[in-house]
Parts: sequence; C-alpha cells; structure tokens
Amino acid sequence: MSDWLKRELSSHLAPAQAPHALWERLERPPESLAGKARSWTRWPIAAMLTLAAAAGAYWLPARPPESEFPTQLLAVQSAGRPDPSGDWALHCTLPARKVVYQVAAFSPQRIPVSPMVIASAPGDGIGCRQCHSTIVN
Amino acid sequence: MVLEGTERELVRACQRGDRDAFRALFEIHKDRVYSVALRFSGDPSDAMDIAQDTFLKLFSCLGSFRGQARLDTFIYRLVVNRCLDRKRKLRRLLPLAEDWASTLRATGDGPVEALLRTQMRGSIRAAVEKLPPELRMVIVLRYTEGLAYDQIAEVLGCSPGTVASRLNRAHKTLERRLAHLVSEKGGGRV
Repeated sequence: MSDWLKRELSSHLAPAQAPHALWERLERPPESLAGKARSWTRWPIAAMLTLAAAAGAYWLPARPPESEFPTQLLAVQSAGRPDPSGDWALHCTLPARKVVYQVAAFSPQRIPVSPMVIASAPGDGIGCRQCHSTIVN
Repeated sequence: MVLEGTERELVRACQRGDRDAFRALFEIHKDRVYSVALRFSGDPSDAMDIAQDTFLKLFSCLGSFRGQARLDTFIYRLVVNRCLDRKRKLRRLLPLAEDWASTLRATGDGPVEALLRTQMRGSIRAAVEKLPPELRMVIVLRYTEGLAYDQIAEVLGCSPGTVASRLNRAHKTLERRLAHLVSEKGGGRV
C-alpha cells in the first residue's frame, strides 16, 4: 500500500471531538423514551376511539326506536293502502331518504318531516316510517 | 476524588451509582466513542445517536463488568456493535455545509489549496463510506483510533490475521477508487 494513502487516511479520518450536547442527551433519555412510549400508545387508542365513534354514528341511528304503537300498521294506513296486511317492502330503499328520516327521527327536537318532501310516490318512505316511527306527518 | 482514581476505582464508583463517576467516565471516553461513530457512519446526527446508545448501554451494563477485558476495549466493542447494528442506508459522510465551513477554517492555505483539500477529504471519506461495514470498521479503528492489529482483533473478536486480511482488502479497494486523485496530482502527492 502506498504511503500516500496511509497519510491521507490518517489525516482525513482523524478523531473528532464529541459535541457538548451529548451529555445532555444522556441525561434526558428516560423522559424522551417515556414520551416515545406514550406517543406510540396514543395511536392505537386514538384509532380505537375513532372506530368506536364511527361505528356508533353508523349503527345507532339505524336502530329502530322502541315504541308501543303498531308502527307498521300505522305506516301502511297513512300511505293510503286499503289492505294493511299486504306484502310491503318495508325497508328504507334509497339511502338519501333514509338519511333524512334518520336525521329527523333522532334530532333533539324531533323535527317533523313531511313525507311529501321525501316520498315522490305513495308507497315511498313507508319502510322508513316503519323503521323510524317517531316522524310526525 | 473519583476523577483522580484509577480506571478500576472509577468503574467501582459507577457500579455504586456515583453520578460524578459516570460523568468522569464519559469525559474520558466521549471523543473516542464519537469519533468511531462519526467516521463509520459519516453523519454527525447518526454519530450522536450511536454515541448516546453506546453510553447508555455502557452505564447499564457496567454493573456486570468484572474487568475481564480492558475498559477501553469493552467500550470499543460496544460502539462497534452499535455501528454495525445500524443498518441505515448510508448517506454522504459529511454534509456539504460542513465541507464549506472547513474550507473557510483552513487558514493556513490559500482558497484554492483549501478547496482542493476539501475535495480530497470528500473523495476519501466517500470512498471509505462505500466500503463494506466490516472493512470500513477496520479502517476506522486503524486510522481514526490508531489501534494495533491485535487490539483491533480483540475488539472485533477475530484473529489478527483476519484483521490484516481485511485491512489489505480495504487498502486495495481504496487505492483503486482513489486512483484518479493520484494521477491528477502527478504521482499522488497532494
């Protein structure tokens, strides 16, 4: 090996002085490590809370409110059908209508929503009213 | 006083939890640890992380240190292991800003000479940076710390013959990669 390379390596790879901040970093690690640990635990907790909130927001309005009234019968009769015992597709058909019914049914003031606003045909919205019987016509 | 004690007394004081002893031990070995970390990683920020990890490990395992090896060898092993464990993709050895700052600090030469020296340093460090980790570590221990072959062998846990072989391979690789510097300077005497 050439002397030139030895000399250059010794010169350019010479020892360096450690920064003063190194000792300060050594004195801090327990706190920073604890902070890191806390920050890592925050993410799963936040994710779980978000998921729980999303699931709650989705499922709670869809749950039919408990009622002592024969809601299915009332809904069919209010739609003007002569035979309440007929075979009805009692479900919330269009998502937009369902959402309007849900909002009205579960808003704190129980905002009355006219079926005319939502239903363009006589049979529309029956399923929603059956599910969400607190709506006032 | 702890600072005036021998290495063994210092270690015993550390084992008793003496904070001053820890500080004294740190002051003795900080430049050594940081230099190896810096020359191996090539990045001051990485070197700080490696040095911090090394001292934390040292302080935590000093209780089990029974003096079966010299303390400096023990510390070299710690820093070498931390360097080799760090499988980070290597970047340039020193940031450009530091090169320019070094250029400005080089008061002994004119600006052209200083710039040439800076470029030379960059080329050499970049060539060292490209060496495989086991060859690079041998180069750092040899040229940064000035360790003898048997000391390097003790730190790396291999035979002196292996150290010689690695050094030889590293030298040949570096000579090949830096050949352009030799020819540019008319025989390589910069």
